[in-house]
Amino acid sequence: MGVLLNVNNIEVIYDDVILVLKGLSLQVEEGRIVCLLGANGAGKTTTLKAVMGLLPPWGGEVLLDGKPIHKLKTPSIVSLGLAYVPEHKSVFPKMTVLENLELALNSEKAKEMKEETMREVFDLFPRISSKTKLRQMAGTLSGGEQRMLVIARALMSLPAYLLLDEPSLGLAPVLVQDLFEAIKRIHAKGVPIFLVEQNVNLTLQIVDRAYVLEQGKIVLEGSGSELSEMPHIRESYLGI
Amino acid sequence: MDYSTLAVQLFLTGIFLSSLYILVTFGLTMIFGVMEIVNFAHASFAILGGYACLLAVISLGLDPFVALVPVVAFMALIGWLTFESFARYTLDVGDAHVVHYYALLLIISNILALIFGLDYKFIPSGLGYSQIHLGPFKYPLLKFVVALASLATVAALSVYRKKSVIGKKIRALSQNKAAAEIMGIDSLRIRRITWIVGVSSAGLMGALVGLVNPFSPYAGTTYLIVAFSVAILGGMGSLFGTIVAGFIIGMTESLFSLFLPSQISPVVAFVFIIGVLMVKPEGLFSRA
Repeated sequence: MGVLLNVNNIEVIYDDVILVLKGLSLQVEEGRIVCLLGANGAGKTTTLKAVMGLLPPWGGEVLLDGKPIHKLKTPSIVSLGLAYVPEHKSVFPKMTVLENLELALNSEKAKEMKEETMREVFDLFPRISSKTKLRQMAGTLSGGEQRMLVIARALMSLPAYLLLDEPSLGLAPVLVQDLFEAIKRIHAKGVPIFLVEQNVNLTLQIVDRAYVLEQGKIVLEGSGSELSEMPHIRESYLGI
Repeated sequence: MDYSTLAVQLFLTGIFLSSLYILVTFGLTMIFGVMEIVNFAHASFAILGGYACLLAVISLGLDPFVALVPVVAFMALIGWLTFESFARYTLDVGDAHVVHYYALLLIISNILALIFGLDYKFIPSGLGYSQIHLGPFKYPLLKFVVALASLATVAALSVYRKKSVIGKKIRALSQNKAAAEIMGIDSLRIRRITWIVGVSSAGLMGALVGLVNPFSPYAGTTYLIVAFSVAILGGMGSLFGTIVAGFIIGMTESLFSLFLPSQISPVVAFVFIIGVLMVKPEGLFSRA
């Protein structure tokens, strides 16, 4: 299988002085779900932001299909087919749900496929698909619905790669189950997914490969099942 | 003069003032929303538009209302030049930008003073003192047309912002910059467009005002204060708030011009604003 996204020895500095990522490397391969685990402050979100060009790496390189992207600006990286779902609320609160979705149509292909993609997306997230919901201002949706809208919006751009930062954060347990189902279905359509999650238990069940980040460095890697057997993971992340 | 005539005239004057106040504030809040810049130079762009219109009428012999077209094109060019040479370097510098934009205000005003002198000028129009008859009521035709042109521009800009693809990107950027960037929206491009639209609308407002009131290179300050008042009252960045606040201030000023000397009537609006802000410090319709 070909390596699609190759993060090679990157270093990221915050506020000019704090070295958050100290030479981090990982790969996302074709058709895979890969996750990055770690405690708060380990640098998980920073890794995603570095890939998206939101926090340009100070050293190292990020390769997409073998081509360097770490010197590009965010909109150019987005135009290469990377869709990013950030951790914090990122809806446009005073625009309707439909307008939010339409803002993601940033390529000709996405515009052409709009109706079809929308049907698929509504199939994944029925809670935001009713006519009245579509006309509602996004800021008035519940927290869970806003998270769904942000993922749905990312899918509207027909991404070639999907980066998800803590998609289950703040969701009610029943919605978390739905969300992981949706992630599995998105993956089944062939979209490679790079996921950062706190819900280690559920995440390890659906991923092909997992990396563990501690203090800015990858300390462990393996398949989902391998990692869930490791004593260190069981103790620190699964609480078993 | 009976009371109904008086009431209608005050109402129409209120509409006239409001329409110009809304137009000048529209550009100011649009730029603030997208660029997070308080554009102190906004009123000097309006005055520049006034002089551009004056030149087009006197030197080229154009009808003043026809002249508005090349004036807006010229102001768009000025907008592009000032963005590329100045505004783009002031993004993300924080509050320090206020000093930069105050400097820009002084630079533009002083260049205008050098070229045109300090005398008050006004743009001659063929409409002169003709009146429009609305049933039993009369009102100066010129003011009526200026108010209509101004309101039509505000309506067109609102639709552009609400419905067009660029307009939606402008709104997205002003609501959530980080999210806009990950949607692939080129923030520099959208800010450039917003700045050009804002500067052009200020120039158009200045040309329209120049048809009715005399102006000088430093006359912009009055409109700047009004625009800030409208923007603050409406909640900085909310265009619906701008429209409501523009009508409140224009109408109040018109009403109180009846009892107070004209030099004092703007003060009433400010007292009104202080009152509102004591109760609702975030403005009537804040963005947040």
